[in-house]
Amino acid sequence: MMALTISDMTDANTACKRIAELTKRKRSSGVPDAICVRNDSFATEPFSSLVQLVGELWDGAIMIESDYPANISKALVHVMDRRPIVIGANQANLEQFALISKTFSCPLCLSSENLEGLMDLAEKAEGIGLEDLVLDPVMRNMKQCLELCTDLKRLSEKVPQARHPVAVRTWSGEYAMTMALVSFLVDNAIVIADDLDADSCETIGALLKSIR
Amino acid sequence: MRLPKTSRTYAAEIEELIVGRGDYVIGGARSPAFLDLDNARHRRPVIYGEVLDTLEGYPESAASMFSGRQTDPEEWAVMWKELGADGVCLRLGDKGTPEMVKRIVDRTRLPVMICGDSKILREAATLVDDSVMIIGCRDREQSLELADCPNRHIIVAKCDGTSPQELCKEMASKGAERIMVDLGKGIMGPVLKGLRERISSYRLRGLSGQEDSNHTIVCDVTSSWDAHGEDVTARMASMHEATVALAVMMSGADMVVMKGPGAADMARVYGEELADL
Repeated sequence: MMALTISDMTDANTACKRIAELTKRKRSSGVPDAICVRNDSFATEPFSSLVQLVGELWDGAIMIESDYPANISKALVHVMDRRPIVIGANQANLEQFALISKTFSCPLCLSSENLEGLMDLAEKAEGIGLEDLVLDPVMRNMKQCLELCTDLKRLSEKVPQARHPVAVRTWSGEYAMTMALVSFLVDNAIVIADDLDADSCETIGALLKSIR
Repeated sequence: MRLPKTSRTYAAEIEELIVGRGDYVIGGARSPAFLDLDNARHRRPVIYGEVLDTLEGYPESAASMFSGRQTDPEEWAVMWKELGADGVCLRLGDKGTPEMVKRIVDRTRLPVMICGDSKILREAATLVDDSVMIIGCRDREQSLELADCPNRHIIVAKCDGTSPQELCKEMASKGAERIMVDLGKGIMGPVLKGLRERISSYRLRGLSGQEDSNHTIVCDVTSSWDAHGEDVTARMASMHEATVALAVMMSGADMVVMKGPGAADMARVYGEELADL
């Protein structure tokens, strides 16, 4: 899965145009097949409104990202039937995010900068009763993508908590495309980029069609 | 949570080949490509830039990136050196001569790979005795025919879907001392999946010490350009070629032959970053 991001700092008109553009790319190349709505404003209302707009205009997968559980809850109401991946859970806020994820039956992405911490988080989340988890080991470059995706793939043969899909979060431009390519070549990762141009989406789409 | 160790060790290493005048090394891997988890050797695959003696059928979008120097094979080869390529892959057609090969070897001082008819390849291999070249072969028959080339140049085992181990054994019995393995062309499309599997599998067999599986792997990705229509932009074609190069390098290719300078530069940077250089 390859997601591109829309910030809730974007006005509604621009957001509509962006969703239309991403829909066009999805139809021509299959990429992106998800949109991640990010709560850059830290406020409830613009985030909730944008999630609602994406839910109405976008027919692919949805992810919603915020550091604030209350903002996630409010926004989720609009798209709960789409089972969006909820992004924002970490060591400090797991209980609150787990409660939301359980209430709305949505997959939860867990983030931690070290694998031990990430496995601890997954173990706790599973203990709370969550089954649909995504693991984000906070990779910062393509080398880390190769090493950590391989490490998690091997760990999954020995540690049950490592069997969940891996998320790779990256930025914009050609380097972001490269991180996505490496992640897809090593593993069937979920990649979330801030932005990619149409050529990059086409290139990733062509690779995915070639290797799957 | 205390995590189990995931690093692996391997029984053998991939062969090392010294090319050119002794200043370039290909291969020597002791792990799956780039993987520090398995104690990778910090060495990136080498990138060879393609040079032809005729521009007939050559994509205009690629030609436009060589500032007119593509009309003279010697100048074209020198340009690849200026662009940072590790070597030149010279495709010899009707206009190619052994003397041209010699001049390019001398002028660029880069390692050179040559491809063409057997007669000219053998003559060039005889003439060039002070630089180790790679003799690229178009098919299995040519690999066997040129196995006894003089001057200890490296002969490519073009596997054509047959067992690389058997072909290498047969080539060695005919006199080949140094061999690189070609497991197929790199191109975007369904064939890429099979190619990646063949490269990974051959690499892992080599690391496990299986006989005749430890040769270095060459992959030609220049055909990536042929997959597009004529209206493709140079940028898009370059991105596809670089992506195919990345895919085969991550599978274990030790050497990649490339068409576009932008793509070659991207592939070199990918290799450097993944090898942590």
